[in-house]
Amino acid sequence: MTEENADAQSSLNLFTQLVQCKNLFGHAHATLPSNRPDNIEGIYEVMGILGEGSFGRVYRCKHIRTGEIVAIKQIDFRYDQNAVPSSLIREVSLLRELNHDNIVRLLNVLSTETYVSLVFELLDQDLGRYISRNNGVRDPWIRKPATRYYRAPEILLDSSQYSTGVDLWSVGCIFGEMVTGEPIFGTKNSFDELDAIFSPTDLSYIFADLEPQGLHLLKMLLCLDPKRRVSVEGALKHAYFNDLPDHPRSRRYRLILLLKSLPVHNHLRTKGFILKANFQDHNDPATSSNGRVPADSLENVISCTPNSLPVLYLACSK
Amino acid sequence: WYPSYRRNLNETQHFGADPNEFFLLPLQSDECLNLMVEKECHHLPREDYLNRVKNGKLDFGDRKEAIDWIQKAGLHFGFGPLCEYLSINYLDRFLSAYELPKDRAWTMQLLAVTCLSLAAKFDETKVPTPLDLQVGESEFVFEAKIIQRMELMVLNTLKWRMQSITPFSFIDYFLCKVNDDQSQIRSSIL
Repeated sequence: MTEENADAQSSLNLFTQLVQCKNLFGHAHATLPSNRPDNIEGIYEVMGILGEGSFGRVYRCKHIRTGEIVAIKQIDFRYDQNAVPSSLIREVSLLRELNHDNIVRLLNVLSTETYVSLVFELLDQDLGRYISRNNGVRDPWIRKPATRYYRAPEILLDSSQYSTGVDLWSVGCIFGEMVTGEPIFGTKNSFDELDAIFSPTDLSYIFADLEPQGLHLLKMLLCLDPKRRVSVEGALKHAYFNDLPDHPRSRRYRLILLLKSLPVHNHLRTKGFILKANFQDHNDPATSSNGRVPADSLENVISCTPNSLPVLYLACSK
Repeated sequence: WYPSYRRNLNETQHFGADPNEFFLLPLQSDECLNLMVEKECHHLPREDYLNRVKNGKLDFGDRKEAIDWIQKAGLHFGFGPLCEYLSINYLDRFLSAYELPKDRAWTMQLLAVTCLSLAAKFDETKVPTPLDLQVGESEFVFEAKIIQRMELMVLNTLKWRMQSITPFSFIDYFLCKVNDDQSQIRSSIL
């Protein structure tokens, strides 16, 4: 309650400013510094940079008063014509509703006029291990995002008619990656990506380690025709998950978490949150000009900035 | 592969009786309903809001005007019903958090534009720029920069909880219930 009062008070101050100082609107006084800042809003001491992307930066920080170590993702919307980006609103709103041990926790949101700082719990560095066991341990925050690897063929083919099925494809890709330890369609560009997807491959050969039921589900997830691809409900009812509950570290458990994280609420599903999530990556000129290629949809649901998808499913491995 | 799972009418009375239900009906389950009810309270105006409206501390006419504008603008841009609902939800939640200065007529209009902008960004595919959003015969037109500041203020006041649980959230569940637990989505899989 006191926290709310403090918030209301600070909002009130901001509002007073808004009413009294119209001149303030003319210029942006706070912008994301080009160099590493010493502190963030005077609350956190910056200890290092964990990652960088088109959205901004992720810092490793220490709460000055409590000493808590956190990861702070700063999202810069200085150049956004549409004020606060929709991707940011969706990302934070979604994270605010998620409260699960296996999903990275959003601790606080600090905002200035031109950027927002998302304060996350700092993930255990070991989390990088499970997808990169062939390449040694990698920092989950630093791992270069390559969301193209998870894009469904209909998106790569530039179809304007796509739906929630694109997420199931992404889940299939991640499922495969859990088994092999590397992106299953990991290629250099979209054309190679399509080549990889459409080249005749026997999944049972690549995923020889996988149980038959798992392979069956994987095939249903990686079905080329989005209309015939399995749905979230269908996937969750698949026999692969029959004898759950399972060990939380298991592949199946993580897969369920991932599937469940997709349509968080009914209205999102019925209104096609995912289908409608064709907003643009505001910093990427390739997508912002015409809005042609929507950002990876799974990524949009979990979080809308490029660094986030790996973060989520790495978190799921916890 | 499809597990045989069909409850009869009697069994539907026992909510959550089947431990496997959690996995079998992950999105429509009673557990999901409980979660939504639990979350809903975080997406409602404060308790005293209605009283404040009733005893005139909050100008009901201003609110109505703002909502009228939201509906007209929503219609103009072809926004869905959820978008409009969310706008009004944000507006009420914000108004319940503190009072707008009474002598500034433009503040309510600014709030209405901001709430619609936020709701559209959350729920719609095509979102007009803050300037384009301001359709109609409003006395005031606000710069994008002002809208942006106001957006941040509303976001912070509502603690960035913009994914409100609304009556729309429950429609599927109750449709499924009155339909003997046979959701249409399930039948479309087969």
